[in-house]
Amino acid sequence: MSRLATIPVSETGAKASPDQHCVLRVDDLSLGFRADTEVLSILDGVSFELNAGRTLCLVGESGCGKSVTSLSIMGLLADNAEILGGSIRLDGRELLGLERRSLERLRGDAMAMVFQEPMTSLNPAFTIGDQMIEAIRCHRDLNADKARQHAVEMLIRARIPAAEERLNEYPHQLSGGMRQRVMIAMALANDPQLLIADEPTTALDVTIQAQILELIRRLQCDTGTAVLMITHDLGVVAETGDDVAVMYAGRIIEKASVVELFDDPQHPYTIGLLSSIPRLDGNLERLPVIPGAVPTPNEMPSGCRFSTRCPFADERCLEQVPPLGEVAGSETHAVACWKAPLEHQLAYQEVGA
Amino acid sequence: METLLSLSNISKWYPVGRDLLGRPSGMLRAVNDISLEVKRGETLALVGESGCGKSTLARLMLRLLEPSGGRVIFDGEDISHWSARRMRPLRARMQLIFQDPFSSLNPRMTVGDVLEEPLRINGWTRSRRRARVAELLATVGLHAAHAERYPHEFSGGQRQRVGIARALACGPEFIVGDEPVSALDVLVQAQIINLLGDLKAQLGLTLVMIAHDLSVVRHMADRVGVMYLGEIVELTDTRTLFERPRHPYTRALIEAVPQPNPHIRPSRDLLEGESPSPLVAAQGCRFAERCPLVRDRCHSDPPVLRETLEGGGSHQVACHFWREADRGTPIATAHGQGSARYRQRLALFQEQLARQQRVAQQSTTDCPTIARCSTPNH
Repeated sequence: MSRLATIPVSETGAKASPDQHCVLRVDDLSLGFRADTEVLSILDGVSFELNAGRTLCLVGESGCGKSVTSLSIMGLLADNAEILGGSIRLDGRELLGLERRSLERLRGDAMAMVFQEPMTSLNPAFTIGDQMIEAIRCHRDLNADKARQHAVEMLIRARIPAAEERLNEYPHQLSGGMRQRVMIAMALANDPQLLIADEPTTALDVTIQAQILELIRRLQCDTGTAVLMITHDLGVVAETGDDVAVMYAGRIIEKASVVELFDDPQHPYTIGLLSSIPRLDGNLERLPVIPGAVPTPNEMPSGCRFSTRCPFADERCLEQVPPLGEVAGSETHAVACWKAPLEHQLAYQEVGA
Repeated sequence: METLLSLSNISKWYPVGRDLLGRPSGMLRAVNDISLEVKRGETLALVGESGCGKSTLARLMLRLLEPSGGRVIFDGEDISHWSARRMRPLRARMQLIFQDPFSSLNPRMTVGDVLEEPLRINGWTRSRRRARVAELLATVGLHAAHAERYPHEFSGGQRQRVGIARALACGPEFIVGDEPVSALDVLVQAQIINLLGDLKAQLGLTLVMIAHDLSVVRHMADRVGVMYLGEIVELTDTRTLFERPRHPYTRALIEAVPQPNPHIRPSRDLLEGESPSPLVAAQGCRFAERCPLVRDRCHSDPPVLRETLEGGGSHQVACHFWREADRGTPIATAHGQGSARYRQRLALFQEQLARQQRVAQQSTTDCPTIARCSTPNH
């Protein structure tokens, strides 16, 4: 067991100031899936940016579009997906519409991804070494020996014991946690500007999860990589994120620094999400619950997409899409809700009554 | 409280590998000499990392597996070695809820068929089955019309409701949930946790919940047993476990849960390494390899689960040095309830929700959403 350095929040909050270099800028991204005759809207006007050395968490329930967002950045969308508009820029370079070969050059080099399932994201028929060396030599002009050396170095940095021997092993010989370490080592092998981690710890035990999150954090400190962390776990957000974007049914409904989101949540959905986390601390009352379920793509309301479940929703919410507007007093905090902040509703109601 | 199920010195070993003569070359000790009592009406949680034997233990409780050693006593009867046939009448009284609502429902059967099957096996007539299916669906918060649909038409949370309804079908008194909420989204998870709590209260169930997520356990369980490599290392009431853990492994497990509070980002004791293989028979304490408090004695002298409280209550720990491990409340369980602004808005949100639900109920009093469930009349 090791005592790990504390990361005071004030420090992480100020982390970006020396290097405001914008690595990833997603602008008004809309995307749909073709189904029979119609195109179902999956993402609607998603915008965010991510600076070097920062961690942005995309958080939301299954089906909210967080994974589709990451796949569209990587250019790994299924064939029936259709980009309806917007742009994705990596280090200033437009990724949408890039031809396959140019994308292949970027993937694993300037941008890399770690997937949820360490069991299925490595090829079972090749050794760890084969796969790592291939990934390195694809993008770097290194001979086999040098590439092998680099692979060993990466495994050591990912704190994999007996790194040299691991290179000759097959994925099935490793535990889930070790496989995820290999995935991270491989993703960072070419020093990417952007690392996308799509639920990297969801399939792992809680003690292993803590180790992997710590590893990502430490490697990020060393390399200055920007990390886009996709997660459904607000605990992971609180622990790893600098900034956070909450997604609901294909839209970003709230964007903030992590501290702002937890201390000053604006959107009713964010509040409901925060309250429904089972906690380890004293509050043992019944868990508050948002009734109902996320609307399916073919029955989206035309206004706010949360309006079908929101107790504050009125006619305007059902009909007009609320813009993602800045929260008064903060440049980093934005919310898409006609009713935020909720305490104002109380005032209106009292006036109305 | 009366004991419903009691396990005494129960073990499940699996032979693994074969030598030249076809004899097993090793034994995998999935569950190793566990003694445990489940009281009628309580919720007991079993937690641990994958491979710690918690699912095997659950299946031994339900006699879905035959123990290699020790005894299983259910409601006063020793069922350790009963045949599958002899077990059958008992099956109506003990049920299992599975983890994965996607693979535990037959995709070719309608939800109605899924729910009727256990009733048919238990000799219910057709008309009573129909009525019971409607009643079950209402109990778990689904509509009677859902009986006609197939599992793929439902979301994960709805499917888990079907899985719960199936377990309730024959009116069991004992239900084991094998990670019943770990495959679900957090909002859906909260709905299902509340549903299980309601059902337990309404129907007087006894629950055993298998989980790897400690925060879920805190909300559901009366008592918690922490497992490590086939053994129980700590067993006590939920509050004590979270506030005064006495086994170093329990403490590490609690501290590893990422907390939804960016202000604490604590300097934590991270557990290094992974669970060792259960194939290797340890000389001493099985946790010694990863333990921060390890001493020489731990490598040679295996600790047994012992009572550490004198007088009232029970707090069993399997550690020679539990007095040192008991270092007060872990950081993860001691932080606050969020900012004042968050609490204020949450209160507003909930008030509004309650107001809306009252209005909805007044307008449709005849539509039961979460209805009561009567016990079946045998």
